[in-house]
Amino acid sequence: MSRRWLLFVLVGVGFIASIIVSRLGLIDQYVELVAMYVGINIILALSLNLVNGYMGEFSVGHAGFMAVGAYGASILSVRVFPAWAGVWIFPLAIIAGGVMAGAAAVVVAIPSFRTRGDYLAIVTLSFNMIVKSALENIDAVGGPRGFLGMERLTTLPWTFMWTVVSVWAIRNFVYSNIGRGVLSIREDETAGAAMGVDTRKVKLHAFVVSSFFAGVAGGLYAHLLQFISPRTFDIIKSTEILIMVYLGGVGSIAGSIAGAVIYTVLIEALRVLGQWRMVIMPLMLVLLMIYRPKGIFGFTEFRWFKPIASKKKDVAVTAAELINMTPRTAADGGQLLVIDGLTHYFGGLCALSDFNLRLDAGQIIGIIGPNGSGKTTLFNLISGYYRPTRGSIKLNGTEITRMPPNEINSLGIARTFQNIRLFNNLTVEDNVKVGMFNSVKYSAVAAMLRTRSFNQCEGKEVSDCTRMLLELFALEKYAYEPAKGLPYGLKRRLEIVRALATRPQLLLLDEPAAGMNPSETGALMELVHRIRDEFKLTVMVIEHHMSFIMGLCEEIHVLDFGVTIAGGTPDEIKSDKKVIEAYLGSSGVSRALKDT
Amino acid sequence: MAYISQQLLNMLQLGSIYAVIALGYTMVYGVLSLINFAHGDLFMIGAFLCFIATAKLHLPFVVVIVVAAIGTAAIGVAVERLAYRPLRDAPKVSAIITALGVGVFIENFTLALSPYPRHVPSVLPNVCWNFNGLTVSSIQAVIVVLSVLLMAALDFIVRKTRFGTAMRALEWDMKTLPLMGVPVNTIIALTFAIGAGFGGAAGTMYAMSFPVIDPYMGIMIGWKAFIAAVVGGIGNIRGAMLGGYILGAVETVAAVALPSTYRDVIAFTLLLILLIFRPNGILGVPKTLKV
Repeated sequence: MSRRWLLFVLVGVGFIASIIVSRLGLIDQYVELVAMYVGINIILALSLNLVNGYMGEFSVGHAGFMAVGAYGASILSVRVFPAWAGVWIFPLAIIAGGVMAGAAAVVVAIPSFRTRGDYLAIVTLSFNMIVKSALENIDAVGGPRGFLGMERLTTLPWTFMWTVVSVWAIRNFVYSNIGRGVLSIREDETAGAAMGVDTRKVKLHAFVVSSFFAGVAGGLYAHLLQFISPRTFDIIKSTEILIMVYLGGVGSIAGSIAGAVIYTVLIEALRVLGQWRMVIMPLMLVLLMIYRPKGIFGFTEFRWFKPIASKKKDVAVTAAELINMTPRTAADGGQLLVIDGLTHYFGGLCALSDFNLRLDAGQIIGIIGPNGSGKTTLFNLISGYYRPTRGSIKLNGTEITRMPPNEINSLGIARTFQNIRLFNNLTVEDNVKVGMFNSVKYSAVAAMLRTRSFNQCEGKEVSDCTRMLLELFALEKYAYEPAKGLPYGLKRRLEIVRALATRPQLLLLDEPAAGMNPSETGALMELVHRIRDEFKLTVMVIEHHMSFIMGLCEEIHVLDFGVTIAGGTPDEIKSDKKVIEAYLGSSGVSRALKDT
Repeated sequence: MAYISQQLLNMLQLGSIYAVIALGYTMVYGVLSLINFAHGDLFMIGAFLCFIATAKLHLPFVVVIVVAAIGTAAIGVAVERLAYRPLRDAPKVSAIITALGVGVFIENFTLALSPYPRHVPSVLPNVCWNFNGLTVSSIQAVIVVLSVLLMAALDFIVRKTRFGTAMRALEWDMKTLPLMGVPVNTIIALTFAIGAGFGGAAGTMYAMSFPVIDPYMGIMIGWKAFIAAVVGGIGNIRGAMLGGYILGAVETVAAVALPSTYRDVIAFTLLLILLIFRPNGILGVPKTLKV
């Protein structure tokens, strides 16, 4: 409480001070100019950090969006808006410039659905070049000669206000449901999709928000310089913004602010060096990457920018309430999952052949088979990572065969991964919260403006449910630790909890007992039974531990080279000749099986 | 008819230069999975070395192109040693940003030394041959023939020699290769040397065709050559050659049909469209998702 008020007071004092200082001319004009550059650069660095730092994508053409905003806002204020309205209509021009830049971002977001990393770098850079080239060819906005006629509407108080608003809005975006989606893409896009994160929607939102603020910065910049030309927004400008982001630190608001301040002031201070200062700038970037690749604040945050942790002790939600929050369609004739003739080829290799399954709600079934027999392929087909060559998968009578992973998850199938795929740099709590991506109903704008719907939803549905889940599985003590620091067994458990947070009906566990000792395996068996009862789940397990699978499952299916060779109760499987021959091979191993 | 064959010749000339530069991008990408953003600037260094060798030292043509190629190769190897090698195990993004930084560094460093555009004197006697109305200049002939020879040599090296085999193996697994006794650092350095050397040769050829050079010339040409590499499928040697000639053709047609200022927009639009419909390029192979 007190911290929040202090922040309000500080911002208010800063705003009033900026008005007084600029009205009375208390500081040197040059210092004032540099201060405004700092503000604009903070907005630029922060908006790029959203895509490059928080989302982990690699956008290198940020100046292109800045150009769209700058030209958009300038054309409006010079050609469209009446001159007498200047100062009053200025915010509208800036916002309009931001909206135009946001619209342009769609062009970049769409290729980002299919490519990442290097290729996205190429797309964004091409975008930057196309914008510059296009502006040079449009004579109506001055072509290569540039565009002028703007009044100097960007003042110190305006810059201050826009900077504060941008920092606030982007910070709110990051600490919201969609912000967690953004982080999950950086950490592990595949796992994010399995937790129901609509990666396309999230990427689109992040690119649009990022570009909106780049456009805002462009509009402010244009009304400060009173002259813009296509060359103002070339690749050198984009590189400058990159340096600020990586100097300050990726994935950190404090970092972007620090990076913008340090870089802007340093470049001004080095003016005496003339052309050589532009040699030092890239050299700084290279040295930074070699010696401190995370930047000054990389992945850490100043306390004041983090949300205040809830102090509430009592948790008002129970497991039963959690599952009731999302009403599920009743099972069709009691059968939850129906798989018919499921077949999958990798090139010429048949990984799964004509697999059939009838799964009743509440069952626990096991899938066993030697390595390479198609078990994980089956899970990948059910959860939507592969599209089968033939066959159909129905959940509660709904055909889910060709749906993307996030949609399948939102219909009620959650999974864990053979090699644990947690969001390593996120806290345990945030890992679970990502699982709630689809149960959150507020919009991105509501999150940025922190409306009532945001506060209610984050409070009850997200925070309370997360706390309940963590307490139920004895993970609450690690809630604020990064997931990568957990011991192995707890990582496995957290992955299950994260899957439960998506409120599934069917849980797919891919080798949950891998690397566990007998006592840990026993505890896991109890855990699976418990969650089946408490969360009214149906469970499918892949495992190699025979004692685990025989003790846990009511029904077992055996795969060998993609073909189902047996199916039945554990006792039937144990005595099945085909299984013993094909899967267990020697008589020695079959003796071991009888002991269990 | 003569007009069309004249334009075809222009396509070949431009395409050859793009193809030779594109090879440098694709080779480095092949071994390190790194987009060497500084490669366009190495090409620029090649052009400046050509300028020094002709205007200041008055060397003959054959020596000029060898000096430019070797000089650029040396700088390419130095860049790898000083900037990229320390980052080989770092996140990929760090390496890409470093490459971007190295590029801007080379540009601005050259600019600080030589602030004005330079004019490269001609090194070849400018002879024109006439075949049935088709005019072929000595410069065009040398560029096309030399490029084809360079590419044929590279294709041979990559496919038939021990070095080429090691280079292709490196693409698959950098961690296992040293266990097979292959000196990975040497292979990477050689790859950079060849890639940058090709860039230097291309810089010379470019300076012969378009004699006004400046420190920022490498940005646009480099990017376009890079587009050529991506169009062909990055990491694929023959793809880069194909992409170079495709880009040369597209640009020549665009220059005939539209005002010259639209040339760049067309090249980049081509890239964006291609990436949407064929994200791995013409000869590239898609990577499969591991779950």
